[in-house]
Amino acid sequence: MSYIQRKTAFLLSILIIVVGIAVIGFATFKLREFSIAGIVESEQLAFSRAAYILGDRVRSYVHGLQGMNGVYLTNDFRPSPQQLTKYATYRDNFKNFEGAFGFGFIRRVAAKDLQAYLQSRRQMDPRFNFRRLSEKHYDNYYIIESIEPYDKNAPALGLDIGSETARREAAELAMRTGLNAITAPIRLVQSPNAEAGFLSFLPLYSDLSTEPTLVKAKTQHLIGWAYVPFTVEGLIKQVRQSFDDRLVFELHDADAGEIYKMSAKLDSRFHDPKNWYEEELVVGQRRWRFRGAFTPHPLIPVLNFLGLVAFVFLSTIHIVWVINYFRLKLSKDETTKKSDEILSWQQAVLDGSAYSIISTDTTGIITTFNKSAARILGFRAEEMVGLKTPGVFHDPVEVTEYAAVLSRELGRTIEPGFEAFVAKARDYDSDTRNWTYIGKDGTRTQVRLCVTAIRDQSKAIIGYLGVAEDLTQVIKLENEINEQRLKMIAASKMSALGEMAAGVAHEINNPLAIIVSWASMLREGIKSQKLNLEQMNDGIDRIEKTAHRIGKIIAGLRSFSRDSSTDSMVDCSAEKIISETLELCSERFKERGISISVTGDLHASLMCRPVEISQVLMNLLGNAHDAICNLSQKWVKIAVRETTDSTIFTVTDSGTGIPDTMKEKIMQPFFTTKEVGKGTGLGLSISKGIIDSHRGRLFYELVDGHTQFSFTIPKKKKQSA
Amino acid sequence: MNLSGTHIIIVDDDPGLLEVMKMYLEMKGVHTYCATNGVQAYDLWRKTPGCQAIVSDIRMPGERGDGIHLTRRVREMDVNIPVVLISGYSEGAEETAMAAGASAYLNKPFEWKELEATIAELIQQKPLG
Repeated sequence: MSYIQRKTAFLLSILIIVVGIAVIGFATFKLREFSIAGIVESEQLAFSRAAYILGDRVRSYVHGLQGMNGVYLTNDFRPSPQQLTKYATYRDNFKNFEGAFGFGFIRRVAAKDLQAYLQSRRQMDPRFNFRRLSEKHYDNYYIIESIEPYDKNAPALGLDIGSETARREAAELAMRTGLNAITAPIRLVQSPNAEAGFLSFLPLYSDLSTEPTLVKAKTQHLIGWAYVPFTVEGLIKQVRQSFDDRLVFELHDADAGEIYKMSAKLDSRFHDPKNWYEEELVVGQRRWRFRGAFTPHPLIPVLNFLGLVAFVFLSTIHIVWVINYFRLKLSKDETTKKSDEILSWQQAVLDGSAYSIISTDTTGIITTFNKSAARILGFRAEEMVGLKTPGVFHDPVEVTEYAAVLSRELGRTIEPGFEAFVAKARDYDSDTRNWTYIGKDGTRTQVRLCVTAIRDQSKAIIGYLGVAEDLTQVIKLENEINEQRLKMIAASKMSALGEMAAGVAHEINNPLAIIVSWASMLREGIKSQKLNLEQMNDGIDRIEKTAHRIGKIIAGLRSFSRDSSTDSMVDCSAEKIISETLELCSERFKERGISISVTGDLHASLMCRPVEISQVLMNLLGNAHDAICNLSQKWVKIAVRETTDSTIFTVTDSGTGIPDTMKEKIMQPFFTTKEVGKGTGLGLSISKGIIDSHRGRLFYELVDGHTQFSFTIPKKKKQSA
Repeated sequence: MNLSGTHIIIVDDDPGLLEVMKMYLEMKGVHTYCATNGVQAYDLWRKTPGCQAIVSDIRMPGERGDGIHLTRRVREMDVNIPVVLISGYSEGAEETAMAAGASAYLNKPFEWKELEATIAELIQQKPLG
């Protein structure tokens, strides 16, 4: 994946995370809002209900007022205090009118009638005590004539409420309208400390049968008013129980200002007027404004917390999911790309390989067939893959033979078929052997085939891989090399023989001379009778002995010249090898005045092909001879040394070593320092080959300033008892 | 062709051959002086004034022990004494031997009749000039 793609994916993931968080945030916010809306709605309801209860409570006083008016009406507008007390008792002293001080009646008394009224009233009720709240003069006095229960309302009895504006206005409004009316907030005489008190009036007329709705008629026929005093505290004390606990509220009179304000610990929402509920109540023809708000719902912090938790939780899940998704996607892309690369690489390797590479599934059906396979066999991959098994290009005879071999080796029956190719690979992981491939056109190709079991990660075999090397060239080359090698060895031998020729001739001619001499002497001796019988016998013995000596030399030559590489290894003493070698070449050294010494463990016995070792020794001696024959110091030392595991031969000559520049090359074939025609350059390389075939080592060293070649022949390993 | 009574130095590194040569020549009445290398032979020749001929092998051990060296050294002292060289290694040996001053050269194995005749002829020849 390129940098740009990575960057795009990264930005995309960031975008998705941001958008996701926004959505989650919005959703949790909405959910919270919805929950809060529910709370708000219930608050709204609770507020409306509170407003209703408040208004209803005030309005319900009308029932008490009606009752009071009823008592006046039925008693010809002049009930006795006893009758009123009876009525009040009947009404359980108006206890069910919560918040009300009591119910009473206010009579309109014309100024001219005041004295007569006060007199009669005092006679009727000794508690009656006429008082006024101001000295203002009006045509009519509105005097509280009765109030039940008296105990709670004693200061009110006899009071002229008409002497005070707020009371007078409300009373006259009730009079004019014929409806219940309430005063603006006032201070009650019963409860002078209470800030806001009210009087509620319901007018009583003497006769409203004609045109009762006319204000004039009402004014004319008005007797007075049933009235009820109450304070807002009393009222609220009662209604508060029915309100929501969290409701904080204020009550205002639309015209006269604040009536009541609840003090409470308010949260920030109270600073915002929007969060205040407000309702207008029309009670007793006054407009009250009821405002309320709710202290924080205990669930809101919980909701906020839950919302935050949900937001954080969902956001985390989202982020983790997005990151994982993109990481997975990236790694998947990367993996796909990697596997693509690997596949291309594999294909290149398969096609570029000089080996035939064929893979199969477990049943033998070919799954891969590379170009080299196609080249060697002449089949195209398309006609093999998925269709054929390797059986089509194998020699059935070979397969049958190998199946039989395997059956014996593995101890179970191997069917001649695909099983023969893979049985061993399955057991031992791979099986390498030579096979003959038969091409489409019948061409037979020798191959070296290595069959390997392909295993998955659980080590179960999922197929087989056959890699085959075309041996045609290898076999050809091997043959050529063998041929070349044989020629070289022969050439080397001829060269060695040629070099030996001089010495050998002398070796043989000398004993021949002895034989001839003895023969001549015997003949002369017989002729001249100068030899006795013993001397003649001695002569014949000498002839015989010398003839054997010649025979031995010839035998040595013959054994040296023939191909010894296939000889078997035999036990042979070092002494025998050295003496036989020297017999063939000592003349050459003698001729050049080179002395040869032999020292060391000559009785050491070694397992070797003696003729080959002799050839090596001859070669080393020959090299020494050629190197030193023109020096003033001429000697060659042969030494044998035994170690625990090998026998070491050293050939040291009086030469001063091999120049460093040549050291590396001396073992290479055809390398020679000798003049043209004198050496083939093969001696050391062949010698090395021979020593290698004995598992020994041939090496050069400079010892005490002299050239030394050594070779080791390992001892046969002793059989442990 | 009678060598009887002559004094001849014979030189060969092969004891077997030296022995049979000595026996043969002595059977023919020759006084023989034996050496196994050229150096020894030269010393022997120097110590034996009556010596009439030298018969020597060519290939013998030692730095100056071969027959060629021996011939050269003898010739430095005496140009007339017959020196017969014999060798089993024929190729180029005769030329080398003659160049060194040998009176005659024979290949091994030699015919005793030929060797006797050669020595006898050389001994009887008058010195040149």
